[in-house]
Amino acid sequence: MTPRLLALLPLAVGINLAMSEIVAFTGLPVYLDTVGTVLVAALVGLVPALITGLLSQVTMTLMLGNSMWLAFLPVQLAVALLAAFAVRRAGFNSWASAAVWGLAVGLVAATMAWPIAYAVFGGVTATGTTAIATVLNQIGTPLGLAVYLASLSTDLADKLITFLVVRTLLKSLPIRLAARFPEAARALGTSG
Amino acid sequence: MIGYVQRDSILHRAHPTTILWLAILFTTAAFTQPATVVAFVASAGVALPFLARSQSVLKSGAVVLSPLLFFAVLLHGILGHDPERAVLLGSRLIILVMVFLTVVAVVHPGRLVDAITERGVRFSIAYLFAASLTAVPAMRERARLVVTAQRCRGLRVGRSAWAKLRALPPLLIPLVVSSLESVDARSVALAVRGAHGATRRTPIDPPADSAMQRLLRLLILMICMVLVWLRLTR
Repeated sequence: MTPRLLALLPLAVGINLAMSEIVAFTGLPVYLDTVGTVLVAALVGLVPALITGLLSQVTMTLMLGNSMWLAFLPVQLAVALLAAFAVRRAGFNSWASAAVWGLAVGLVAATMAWPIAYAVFGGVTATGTTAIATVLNQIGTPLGLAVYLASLSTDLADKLITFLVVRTLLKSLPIRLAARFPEAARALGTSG
Repeated sequence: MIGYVQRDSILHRAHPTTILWLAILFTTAAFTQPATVVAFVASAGVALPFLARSQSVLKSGAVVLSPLLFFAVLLHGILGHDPERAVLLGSRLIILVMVFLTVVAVVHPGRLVDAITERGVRFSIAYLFAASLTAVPAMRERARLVVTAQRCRGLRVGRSAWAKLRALPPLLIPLVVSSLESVDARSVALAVRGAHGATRRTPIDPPADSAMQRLLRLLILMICMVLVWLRLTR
């Protein structure tokens, strides 16, 4: 673990958990709590992104005092893995590409989160998602499907915006700063 | 967010790893035992803040648990007509929240880092953990400052989804770029302190441990294994 990574990863964790301040100001119904993880994948690659995801989930558990979030660690790790894969495929080289990758990651995240949310917690997780599932269940949707659809609706929007945000950030990096992170050029499809 | 609450209690004086093992025991019971046992364990979990002399944990727990318990009762007890499942889920949620809120309240992050460093864990791993815990409040404060500064510069959030999305770049770019700018200086500071080295470090004042606590942790491990075995053979 280089000093550079030791300096970068906690900042990325801080970005993940500080996104709630930004989201609250804008009023968007998303979490954006993987922006830091996806950014690290784009800047330095897979393993640091996985570590960022792990640290974020553990830190969130400790800071919120709710160990329920630890159960969703596989979802964070899957997001890191797919983000790194997107970087290798220059997934951030256009808005359309970033959007497609965001939706794909959202689909995978929702599908992975569903068995955890339903089987382990009976569909009772984050308040907003649970409220959507309750409404769907009330109009006749089986609870399992209602939980999945609620998770899908939030995850698709969340990861779509996350990937678009990360592309914006990568495009906005000053040249001097971008030069320190060669992987960013690969993510944008501008490397040689 | 709740954090460490300084008190003088039996839980505060315990070794940090003992507290973590206690939390693991409660969590194992929550996911391996039937509803009646889990409900009993949940009531023991609610008693932990009193052992920690931190009634603020109860208030924080009530705030976190209220919506979750509401939906657990509504979805499963009332709409699902399965009160036993409602009791199981509700008890499980109470354990997950109350036990970990207590852990956070009685275990100082610095003590935990000293404890795991003393066990031989590499400094870089301990540093990542501790630095993440301290980075979060600092980053939140920085985010608040960015929001205030941009609002002073005329940033307004419209009502439409597109207007809300357009507000993200002027908030996120300053936050992230300024954070990335600080990586170089931080990495130099870490390098001169040998943070990436493999040398085992010695904490100046490690948390006190005892044979009794080591025995207790071993006992907890054995109980967890029995609970899992009972679940698998049921």
